[in-house]
Amino acid sequence: MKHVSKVHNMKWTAAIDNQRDLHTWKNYGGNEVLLECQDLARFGRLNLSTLHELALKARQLGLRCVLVWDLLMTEKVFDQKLAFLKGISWDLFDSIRVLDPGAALWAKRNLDSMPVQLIVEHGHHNLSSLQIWKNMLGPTLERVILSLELTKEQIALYCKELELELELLVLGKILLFSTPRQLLSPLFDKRQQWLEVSGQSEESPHKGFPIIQNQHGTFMFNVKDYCLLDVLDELQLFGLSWSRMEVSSDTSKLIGPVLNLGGRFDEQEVRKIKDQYPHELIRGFYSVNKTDVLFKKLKNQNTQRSDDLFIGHVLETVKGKHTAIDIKNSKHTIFVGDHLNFLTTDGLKVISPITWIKTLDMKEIDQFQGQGVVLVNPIKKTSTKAAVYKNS
Amino acid sequence: MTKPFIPQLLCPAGNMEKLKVAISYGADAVYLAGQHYGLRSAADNFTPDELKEAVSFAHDRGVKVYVALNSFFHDKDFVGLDDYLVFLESLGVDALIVSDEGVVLRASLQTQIPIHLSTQASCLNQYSALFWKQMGVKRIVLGREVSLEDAARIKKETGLEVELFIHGSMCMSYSGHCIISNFTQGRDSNRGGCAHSCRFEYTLKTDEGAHKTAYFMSSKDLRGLELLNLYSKFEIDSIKIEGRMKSHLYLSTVTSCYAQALKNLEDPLKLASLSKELEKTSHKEFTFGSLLTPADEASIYDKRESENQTFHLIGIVQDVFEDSFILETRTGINNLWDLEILKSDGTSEKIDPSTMTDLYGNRHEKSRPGQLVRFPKTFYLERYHIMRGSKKDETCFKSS
Repeated sequence: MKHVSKVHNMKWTAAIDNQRDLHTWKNYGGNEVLLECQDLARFGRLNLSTLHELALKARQLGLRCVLVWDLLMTEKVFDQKLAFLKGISWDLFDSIRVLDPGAALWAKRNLDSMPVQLIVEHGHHNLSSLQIWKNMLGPTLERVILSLELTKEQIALYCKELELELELLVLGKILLFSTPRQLLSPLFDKRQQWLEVSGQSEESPHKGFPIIQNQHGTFMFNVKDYCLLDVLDELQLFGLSWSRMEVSSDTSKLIGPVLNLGGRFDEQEVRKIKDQYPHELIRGFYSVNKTDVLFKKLKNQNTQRSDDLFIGHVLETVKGKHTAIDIKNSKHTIFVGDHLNFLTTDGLKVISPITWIKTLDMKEIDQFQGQGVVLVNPIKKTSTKAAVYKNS
Repeated sequence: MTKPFIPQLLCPAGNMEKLKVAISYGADAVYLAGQHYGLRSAADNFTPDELKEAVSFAHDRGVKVYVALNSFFHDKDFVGLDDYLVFLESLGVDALIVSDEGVVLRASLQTQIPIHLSTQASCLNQYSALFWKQMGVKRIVLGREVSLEDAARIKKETGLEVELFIHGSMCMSYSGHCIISNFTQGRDSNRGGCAHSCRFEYTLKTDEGAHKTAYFMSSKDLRGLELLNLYSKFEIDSIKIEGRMKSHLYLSTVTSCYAQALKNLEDPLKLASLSKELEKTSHKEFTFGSLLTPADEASIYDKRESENQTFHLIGIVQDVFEDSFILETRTGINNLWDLEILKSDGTSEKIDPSTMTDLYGNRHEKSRPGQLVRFPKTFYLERYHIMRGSKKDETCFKSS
């Protein structure tokens, strides 16, 4: 059945770097533009002059204008950027968008009621951390740009509980990795300020990771782009206030169709957009995030210590001579006559009586408590690294 | 003449045995993780009973214990956290290493344990540090992009303690800003599942048709031994060795080197000899990273990782008697090996493989890994000291 619904009040933002796209964005109902200059933004292309020109034009068109300052900065870089910021005409901007927590605090203290939009694209996968930022920045915090690793349950929860403007990327590239080091220059033309390549790893069957290098470092994106257009109505129901679309030379033709969804969600239109989109699309972790599920499989569970009755591990078995046990748990005393459980790395369970105990200098003892290596009678079918437990 | 500032030596403890190795070789503090919430899911990590034992063992020797809860928490990860925090406080742990604001808040509400900000939070400047100070953090483990000079400035401007890595593997990415394995392997790199995607070979192509194959995202290993005097000059509170997943050989050698270096800051000859010791562990080529100037292309390790090393871990001392010691072998021994025990003071004692016997005193010409063997001794030795060795006829050999 065709799914069509009215989607109200969904606002749209995008990074725009030219006048043509600016007009298109405005004409189709875009609400805000993110302006990225090369000195302040990771993917900025504008210089100071073109930044101001575009900001002025955006203002004239009635668009909200946001200055993007999304760099992570060491002390020296921070100083350089503060010097650069002195040249900004702040009256052209409605907000500033930052990634570095230091930039957020600096902006709050120094930019006289300029609203701050905070990018929390990494980490901050819990309500508590977001509420802390809300408390810390107070009314200065205008909006939080959420991580792409969140599930729909988390998005719904945050929209409900935070009472704050929240924004999500709904169409665009997924940033996987960023470094301040310039990793492509050693391999390609060192003179270029902006290098773009496509990468394929021997580790992964995927190919075509877009990789960009510029003055701010090297950035690697996912092979497939992120798309939540199918669930725009759901996001609207959650109360998500802002959606972001990535606009590039490849995708600017889709501004109209995408923004039209904001007024009237239409499944068929979404399908058409996806067909025209230049890259494969995924919904990422929107439905479920199981990226911590595999961890238990990283270890052999048979060798993992399970306490209370745990004694230690078998260090050595010498047929006909002894089994050496590294006693690790000083809670228990082992007596001659005790029955111990041995769990081998293959999962074989062996229960065996202890008929003698000796120290490593061959002194026979009746019992042992503490930590250290002791020898006991040879235990059949057990092996090195077997876990040893008291018999309950 | 004023004495130089001596930073704390902070060493990794992937499991109980490694903790004991680190302490026996001179660690002032160790960092470890419980079974949950850390960033090294593949490490053994510590059960609750082991944590208790670890703190007791360390404190008996004047060593501090810091527990890492530095993964990026999702909402469901907070279940059980309060109880765990209270438990850690009951043990007397000396600090928590945390990267998430929500966890910092819980920790400060539930306990009085000092909080250190993990490098995972990528705190790189004083403004960011001030945010964390307002949250109640006492020490910042600064991102690896921060220079020694900047670290000193952050310390001065904020009044916080600062900690910097000094040795070990380095991520190429900003800490906490890499999610490659999340999308390519379904493993959350920020909750302990990093698949080290940066260390693989990549084929790179431009639109113009240029084409290269390279290990372009792999970083050389950090080595700051030669800059230790600067760490002291800038009063960096703690120098951190990376490597909860690393071997006993690495841990013992590196810990011993830096412990001895801190005792001999004003002896350049000693530092030079210690520098040679560091070559005895498996490592990639070394770099200063961003300690002096921002890391550049010289910091890229453009080869496949392999274990080029001159020395191997032969075994761990498991018991010591008046005139002999028991070694648990981790590598097979025969008379083709040059063997030595690494002692607490950083010197080594040669061991003749022909003196090896089994536990019953019978001569042992060779042993295999996982055996208990006996050697005579005439020097001071402790349990958890390591024996290392190199093959007599080869100064260097490779294993994949």
